[in-house]
Amino acid sequence: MPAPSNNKKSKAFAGRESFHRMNYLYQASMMVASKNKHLSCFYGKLCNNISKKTVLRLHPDIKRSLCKKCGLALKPGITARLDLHPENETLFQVECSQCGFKKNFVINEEYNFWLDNPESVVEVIGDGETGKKKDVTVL
Amino acid sequence: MEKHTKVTIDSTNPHVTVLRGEKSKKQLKGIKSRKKPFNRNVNPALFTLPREGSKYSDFEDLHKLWKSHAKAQLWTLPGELNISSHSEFQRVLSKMEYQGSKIQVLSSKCPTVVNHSGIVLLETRETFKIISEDNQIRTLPKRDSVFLLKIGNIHLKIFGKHLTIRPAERSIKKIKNFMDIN
Repeated sequence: MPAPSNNKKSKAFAGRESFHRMNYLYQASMMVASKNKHLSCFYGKLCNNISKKTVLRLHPDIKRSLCKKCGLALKPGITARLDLHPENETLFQVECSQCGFKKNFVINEEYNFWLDNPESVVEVIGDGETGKKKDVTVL
Repeated sequence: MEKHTKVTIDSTNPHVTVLRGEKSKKQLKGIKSRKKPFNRNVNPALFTLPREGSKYSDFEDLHKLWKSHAKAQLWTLPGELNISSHSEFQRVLSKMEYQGSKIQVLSSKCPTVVNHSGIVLLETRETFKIISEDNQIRTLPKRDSVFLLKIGNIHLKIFGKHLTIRPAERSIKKIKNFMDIN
């Protein structure tokens, strides 16, 4: 939400429309997941495809909550199953209920995302009045 | 694949010439190589929506979500529409998302489709799939049809032929002036 006085800054925010669109698609796929799985797949896949085409990166938390193969919004208990790996107990598994794709993650308490680090924020675009801010970060 | 068998046809018409005989092994090989193997990465159920069985009331929340999306795109400030330049407005419109919007067909080359309205569920390169209030899913061709779109108190006429791009590619493509329509 750019302020009226700094119109120059609002133009500098590249990919504003695409970010809005991806945000909407992610929310839509999460909303529809319990009602219609096919639609949820389609929205999730589109969200991923837009980020590929426009070369705008998704946050890893968002990326991991969509199925890598079919794009279904993974809600544990409704559309996904969480389990420990049957052979290796240092891994946990997420299984998609639509396509059966399994993905493993390492359980490690010491691991941190680079994006959680305050040093990763390069600049903040937005106005201070409404308190809404958009962070531009380097991945 | 089925085996090719010999067929005898009594053609009394002298103008029709029928080629007889099996296809040679070289020809059959060509047909086999054209058949692609089943691609596991593409979900086969992606583009299929059953015609009946889904309810209109389920997707009213989706439409509410879309309204907020459209307002965030067009109104950068509350109460002020950024219509300062016409080309800018069109650029934003072409990069917007249409899945979740309410659409009505004003005119079309296909007469059975005219005056249907509903919430857009799926967008492909050539069609919109909408669910109307009688709980039925219909496909509308984009090309050769004109749609009515309402955002707040703005009524927009959208010519479908300008949207015949794949939905993922729409956000990159640079558009030229849309005003040159006759």
